[in-house]
Amino acid sequence: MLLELRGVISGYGNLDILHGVDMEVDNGEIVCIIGPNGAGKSTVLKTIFGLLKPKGGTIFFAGEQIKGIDPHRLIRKGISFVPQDKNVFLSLTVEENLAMGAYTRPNMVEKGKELVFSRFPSLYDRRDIRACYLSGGERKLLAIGIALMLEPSLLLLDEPSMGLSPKYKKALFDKITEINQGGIPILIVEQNAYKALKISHRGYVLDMGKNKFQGESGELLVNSQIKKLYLGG
Amino acid sequence: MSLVAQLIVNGIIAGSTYALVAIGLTMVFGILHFINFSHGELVMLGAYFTLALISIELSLPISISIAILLVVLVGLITDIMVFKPLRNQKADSLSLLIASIGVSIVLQSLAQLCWGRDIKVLDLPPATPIEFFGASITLVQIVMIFTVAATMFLLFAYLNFTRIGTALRATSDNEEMARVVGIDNDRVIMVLWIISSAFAAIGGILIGINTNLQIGMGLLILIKALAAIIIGSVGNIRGALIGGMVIGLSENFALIALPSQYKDAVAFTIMILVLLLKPEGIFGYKERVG
Repeated sequence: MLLELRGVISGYGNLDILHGVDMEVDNGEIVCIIGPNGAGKSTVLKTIFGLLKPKGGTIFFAGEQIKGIDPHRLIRKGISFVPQDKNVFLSLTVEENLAMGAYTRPNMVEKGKELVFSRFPSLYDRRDIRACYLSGGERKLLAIGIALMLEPSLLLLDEPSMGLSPKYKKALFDKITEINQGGIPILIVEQNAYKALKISHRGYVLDMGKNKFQGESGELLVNSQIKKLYLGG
Repeated sequence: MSLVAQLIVNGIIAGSTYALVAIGLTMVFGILHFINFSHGELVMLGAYFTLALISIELSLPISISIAILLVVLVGLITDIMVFKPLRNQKADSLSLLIASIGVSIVLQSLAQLCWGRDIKVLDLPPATPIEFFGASITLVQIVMIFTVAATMFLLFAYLNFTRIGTALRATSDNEEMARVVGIDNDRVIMVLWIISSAFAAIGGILIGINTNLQIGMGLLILIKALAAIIIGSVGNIRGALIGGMVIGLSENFALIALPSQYKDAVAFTIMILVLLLKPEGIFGYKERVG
């Protein structure tokens, strides 16, 4: 198992959001986390990435306990995180943003840029432009590009489709599928539960900071209870 | 015509020292989110350390180099002893600002203990002015202007073409994202203090060479630098450079119409106008939506 969470308790300060969450991601998979607002979906990702320190439970990555380790060390172990918003450096150019994605491994900058530009050719055309002048869709691609710079062995995506028009959403989900087919396992949090289950292999439904349902995405999609509660009938 | 040329020369000389001081102030604000009141004292110490080193018979270039190093050391020590512990306690900008006023008073008192309250001048060979498009300028002043230009050029090259320089801009832009990509915050903050203290020291030394030294000189220059960074958008380095020049030139040009004791009011009139008409400053930019 690549990533394994057992009984993780975490939150902000004294406020616990997760009350013992279990989760697994295996090599090659896209795994989605869905659930209502405030269920703790983003908290799971921030806790794995060390931005929040868990109070209980265990987190194993590639067989190693990573609970409470700082982000800069997790990056070196192969985990990349794309935050939900404010996920690019607005005053830096596209190229500089990408270079910062490889900050911890400066010798990977050139190779990483090549990789990202081949995957997102539209960014190559805009490489000298400051991120604040990119469209919303391009900015999302840049955010993911930053995370791909070090060819991570696990990509954490927090609500990537948020704020995008339907046309851009479809293109973005196609890109995510492509990245996964290129060999990178992805753990994705999405408010668009239907779409998330469509592109993923397995899914977890979180509610009130606890596991509610889990299983193959195809099965979850046709589960009548999930349909009623989370997929709008 | 020669009056205008002279005002331009004087304006550029004053403006370039304001710009040097303002750049450090705006960089510290951009990353640590507070106005460092003790920044003016680093300017003052730059001048006084040079004075002390010259008085023990060291040559001017050596005195200046050592003075800059000493000021950098003082800057780093104030961070380690005062600002870093406050940051670790998640102190807000107001607490940091007030702490920096405290640091400023302590440094000023220590300097007064060492050098007294009298106005001092650096013991330099007398400078003979040369004619330049009808303006009179000394060789020292020409060297000053080139020093400032070279220092600025080096800074911009450092920030744009090195890994740590880019990381510094990235941290100033988006601290949370800097953490997400693994930028080492402690290292960035150390580089920040080195640059900002060195620039303050150079500013102080130039003022010392051009005019004189007073224990209270830090506050005077700090207030001008504050106006400069507000004009150029707080946190924006290019803005601080332009803001400093705008103030230096305009307060000199005001001399055409106003007696010299109103010089300082000019800087603040411009600052207030900028705040009223373009509150985000000349270089403030709005994020594209959508």
